[in-house]
Amino acid sequence: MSEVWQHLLFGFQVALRPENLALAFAGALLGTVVGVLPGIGPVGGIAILLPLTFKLPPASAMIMLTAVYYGTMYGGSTTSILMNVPGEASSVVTAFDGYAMAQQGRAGPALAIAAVGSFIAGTLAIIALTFFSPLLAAWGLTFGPPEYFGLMLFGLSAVSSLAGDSLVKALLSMGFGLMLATVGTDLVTGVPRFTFGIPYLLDGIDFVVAVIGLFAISEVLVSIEGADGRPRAPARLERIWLSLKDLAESFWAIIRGSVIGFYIGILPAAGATIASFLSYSVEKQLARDPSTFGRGDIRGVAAPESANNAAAVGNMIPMLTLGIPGSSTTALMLGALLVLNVVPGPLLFRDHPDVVWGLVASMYVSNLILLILNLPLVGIFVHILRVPERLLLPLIVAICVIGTYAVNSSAFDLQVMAALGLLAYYMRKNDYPLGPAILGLVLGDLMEQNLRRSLIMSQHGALIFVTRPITAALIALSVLSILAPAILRALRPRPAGARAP
Amino acid sequence: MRSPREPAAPAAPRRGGSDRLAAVVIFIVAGLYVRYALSFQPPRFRSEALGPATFPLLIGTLMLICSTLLFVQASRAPARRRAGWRLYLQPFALWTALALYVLIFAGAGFLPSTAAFLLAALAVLGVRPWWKTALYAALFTAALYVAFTALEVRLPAGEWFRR
Repeated sequence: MSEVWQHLLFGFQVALRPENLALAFAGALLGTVVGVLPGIGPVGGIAILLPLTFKLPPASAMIMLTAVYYGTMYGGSTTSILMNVPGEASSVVTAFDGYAMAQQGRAGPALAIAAVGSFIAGTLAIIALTFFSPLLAAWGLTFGPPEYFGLMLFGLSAVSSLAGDSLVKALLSMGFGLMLATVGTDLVTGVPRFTFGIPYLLDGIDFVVAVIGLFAISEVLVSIEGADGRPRAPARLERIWLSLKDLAESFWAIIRGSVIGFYIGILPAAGATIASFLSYSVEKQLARDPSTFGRGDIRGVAAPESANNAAAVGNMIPMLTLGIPGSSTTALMLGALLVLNVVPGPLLFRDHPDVVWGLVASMYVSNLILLILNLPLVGIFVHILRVPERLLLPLIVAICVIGTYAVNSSAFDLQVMAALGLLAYYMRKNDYPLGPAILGLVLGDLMEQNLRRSLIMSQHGALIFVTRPITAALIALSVLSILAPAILRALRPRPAGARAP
Repeated sequence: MRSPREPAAPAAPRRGGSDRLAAVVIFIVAGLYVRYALSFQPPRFRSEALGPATFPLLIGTLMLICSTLLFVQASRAPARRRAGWRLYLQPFALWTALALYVLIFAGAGFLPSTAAFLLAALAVLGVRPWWKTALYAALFTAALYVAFTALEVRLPAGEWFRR
């Protein structure tokens, strides 16, 4: 246990270096600004700001990205409360009571409880992560390539089975991501794959280029459909304050939201959105008078905001300890680590303690920064909200182009980014979830490496995947997660009067 | 954070009827992908399972199966309401401006290409009158130049003008 404290202390030494503290401030501020922009959620926000971290050392880059992540989440909550426009799926529930509070002239307490709830939940979840991660990482050290292959397969299948309305479309999206990951020179045999003789493709499709195209550009194109050119009108904001009564009323909602969020966050695919909906529903069921929910009950803001913040932290656990992202955002973080030549997984704790513990400590710091930064600055963010979308969206596209060009100074990258942006726009419009695609892109290469290593160490070919208990269990879970929706549908009793086919 | 559970797009009119066409296109692309993978030379000294084609063949097979399933599902599903084509006009116009922007970015250089893109994009999105469009384009270009230069991002000076 004392070892954990020592590591954490080391993490704080890294996170509190003046340059890293400045990066965390800048990240939290930029993240919040991007988070309040129309239609841009955390994934798009991180994608846009990712190129800013290239020239930084890995620990500093991750500290900045974490702060950006937290900032975009808070930005999303702000638009939910003030404008009834959730910047992200996990803020949808916040809008139910948050916007109702804003309409009653209580936008200040709503924003304050969102910040305070996020701060408390984030802090509790980070404490849990601090002690939980080394245990999971130590267990992960016993894993060999077959277990990792099984784990990645499970991560991909779990995310695909829960993504969107159609499993087939989610699997196609995952396959698309995996296909993108196979482009470039095969590292084992040196064979160029799917390069069509284009030298630019020999190094593969750059992760950042793909992410900006898939997430940022397509998000802007979708946002344009709703941009009517009128200045947006956020609810009136007097001052940000929170009375003791408000805090006392929300206290247990925050604690319950934190616990629900943390545990849901650890599960692959069950991210902040499920956590926020679940915690809201729990609070409503526990309330003496549930009819106040949806009409401006402060617990209806405190619970989901706490849950989605705790889930964001819980999500980091499988990513950091096992190298398996459970959501699009953690997939982006994992991709960013790989770009920085840092391979997440159990060895990360041994090989790059500055990255892991610096990141963990920076989560504490980012939480605090957001609390200090956002409450006084919310007036400025409201001004950003008033800027018409038609002015901001072209500017975001230009930033994406410059950010993409900054990766390799390659005009070809720009063309790939634009093409992927159009394709992702089509996917969004036709209900193909993008989460599985980004997971496939990030995990494809690692999966292939572990598949090959497994087969090299196997005496009996592919049988290695069923003879090792953990691998077999993970593969069984993967199959189950894909088949579960169909099984549940078949078992569900038909409504009376429905004709048999 | 955005969970992969949700389609990232905000609520928009659902469109349908294109799933069958998409299934056919994906099937063809997956078929070409598999054919390309089969052309990879197997390793000389190791088993073929470890070669460059194995993993792509697994992915290609998955895509072929799923695209077939999509075709079957789309054929059985009732036709869905299509959104009017006007909805796509602005996104498509902006994407076209983006496509032209990325084509001239390195050649024309940062300043002229960005100013031209912003002018076109703001006009496409209905910013009027023209003097305001031009003013915003110039201001945004200057702000981006200052910001990214301060961040030490190397912006293209324009290869065409150097010749």
